Amino acid sequence: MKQILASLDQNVVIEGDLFKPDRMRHLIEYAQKGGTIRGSGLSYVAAGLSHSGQNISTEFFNRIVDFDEHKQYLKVEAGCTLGRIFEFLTPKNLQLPVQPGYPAITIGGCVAGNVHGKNHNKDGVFGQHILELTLFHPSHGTIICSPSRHSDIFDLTIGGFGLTGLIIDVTLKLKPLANREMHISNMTAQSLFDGYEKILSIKQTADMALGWFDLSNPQSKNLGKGFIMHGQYSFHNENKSDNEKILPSLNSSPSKRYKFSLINSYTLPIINFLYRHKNIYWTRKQTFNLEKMLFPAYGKEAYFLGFGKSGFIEQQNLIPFDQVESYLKEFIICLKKHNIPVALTTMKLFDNGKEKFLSYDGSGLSFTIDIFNNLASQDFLSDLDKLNCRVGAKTSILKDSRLPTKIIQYQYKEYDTFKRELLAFDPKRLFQSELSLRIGL
Amino acid sequence: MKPHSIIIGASAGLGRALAEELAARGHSLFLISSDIEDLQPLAQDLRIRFNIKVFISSVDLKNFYVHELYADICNQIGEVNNLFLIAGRSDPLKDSGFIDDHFLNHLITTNFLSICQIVNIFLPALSMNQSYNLVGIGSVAGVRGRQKNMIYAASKRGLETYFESCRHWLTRQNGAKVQFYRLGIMNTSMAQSGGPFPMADPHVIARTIANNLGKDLGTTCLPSWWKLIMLIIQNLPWLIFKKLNI
Repeated sequence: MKQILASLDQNVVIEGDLFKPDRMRHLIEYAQKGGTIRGSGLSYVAAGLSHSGQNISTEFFNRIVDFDEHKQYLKVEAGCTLGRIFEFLTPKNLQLPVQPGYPAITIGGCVAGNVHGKNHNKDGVFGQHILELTLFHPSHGTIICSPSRHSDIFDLTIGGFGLTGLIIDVTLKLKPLANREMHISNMTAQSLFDGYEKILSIKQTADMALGWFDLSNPQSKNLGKGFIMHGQYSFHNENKSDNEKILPSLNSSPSKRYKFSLINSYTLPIINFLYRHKNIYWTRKQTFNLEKMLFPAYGKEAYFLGFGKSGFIEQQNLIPFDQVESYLKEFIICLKKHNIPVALTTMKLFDNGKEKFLSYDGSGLSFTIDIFNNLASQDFLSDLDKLNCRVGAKTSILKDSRLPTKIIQYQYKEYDTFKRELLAFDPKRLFQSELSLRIGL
Repeated sequence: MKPHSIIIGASAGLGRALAEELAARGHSLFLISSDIEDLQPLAQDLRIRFNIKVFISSVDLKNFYVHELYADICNQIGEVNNLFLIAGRSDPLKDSGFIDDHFLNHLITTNFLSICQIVNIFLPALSMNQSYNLVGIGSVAGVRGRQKNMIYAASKRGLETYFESCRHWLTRQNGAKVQFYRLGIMNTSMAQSGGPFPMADPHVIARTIANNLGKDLGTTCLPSWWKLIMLIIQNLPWLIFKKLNI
């Protein structure tokens, strides 16, 4: 059935055929013809949608099929969401080592994006914790692969944007959960670089650390002020009550967006000012339930809707440690030159990451901005692309829906290797998406 | 002791939602469907998440022996407290005008005959206790014959009458409570679109069905606002009804 489908940032809006099989034989029948595999449909960059082929949803394949509490592993179908797993594991004092920030994200999406959480410097990326996965491809049938079995296909699938076929199930390593609550403290940061140094200073002790900065008015004297939110698991279970049911409501459909942008250059400085002061003065120290820390976007869905129909662009850059100081200076100069208000600015640390194919992994400062989607922003991002290439930074392919192919080829040294191996595995290239078509895969 | 519930047609849609709802309430389950590939992971999921007993059996309602199925259920789960007949099949495109004989048989067997056979074999057991429940699923499609879903609608209307008879018989035997639901369009793979009507969430319907266990409901509509639509359709004069492309 034809439907209007969109990327989360609203930069890609298409009419496509969406199929939601609820029986395994129907899912395989659809996958036999290839197409685009779709999880929760929350990709920023249209990795799960296609205007030409069939969009196959794995929504109904969300079952937990194996679990061993003592050996600490969990096997789930690819459509199983982080929220469902969180609800199941938390009472058993277990958790997934790496989780991105929204509970509706599916495990298939986490595999295909080789995603990260707010603890990369401790636990790395999602792919490091996958023990085994089952993949279906019409030309190869069902393949069980792991780091030691069909490792070439395994490597191609982890961070492979869903282009190797239909992920049926995934077996994941778990880690003990120290506590269901986290003590959160906020430290004031006077500038981006000050914030970076503060994050570095707590990286050994904090279980999680994230910097937030106000760049909403590039000409303001408060530009770059913010706070570092760092958390440690509580030693005492002050609140042993059961988790509330997690009911995520974020949807990428354009029909759910406000007609006009509630977040704009007039409201943004006010929103950011209030948010910064709230976190610095009023809620400097707090105890959070775990879901609030793990899924910071949960309950803040209005932020995404607030950009309206024109949407936004998110860019996430991994800056080498030795380039951070000069990068942040040049970034501010570029921002002032283009006079671009930034809706959201965050930073976190990546450490001991491994650069493989097109995964956003490595070591350095991960620096993220959300800006309005307009012509001025496009010019600003073009200049930022040049800066990123000059300092050896890497831009996340899964965040920036306008990132040009030539920039990806420059930043990701294994782009050609990935493309060649993907073509060798699937010469007919049966699985495509708007993302893969845009970046020449 | 936790109740024992049998769900015929458990692998997808409402059947699966009902299995999850009953599992959350601690019921021991016997799940039946033709899709073993879906029953197995569903049973595993329910055992792992809710720590309950789940038995499964792969049965194709087009071709099965009801005595074998009955023996299998009784051997594995013992006493049956609740029997849910959810299975059904529709295809509005093929089920209109002249219908292929094989497909016609298939629709009647799946939607009516097999269900009656299963209910029939359980009737003596269901008549033993007032706390037992017999739950059937009909459709708003059966409210008035129209050009689409001809055999499906007829089968569901027939099933409704059969359940009405069962309710009468069981009441006189001081036996199980009977609940028969005329369902509106639900958001499952069987329904491509709700047309002008919003599609109901199978999990919400499943919760209502589970909440109604133990009640002598007879026949009712879910979601309840369909009652109004059905009243209008039932009472539309033929002169108007014949012009509608529904």
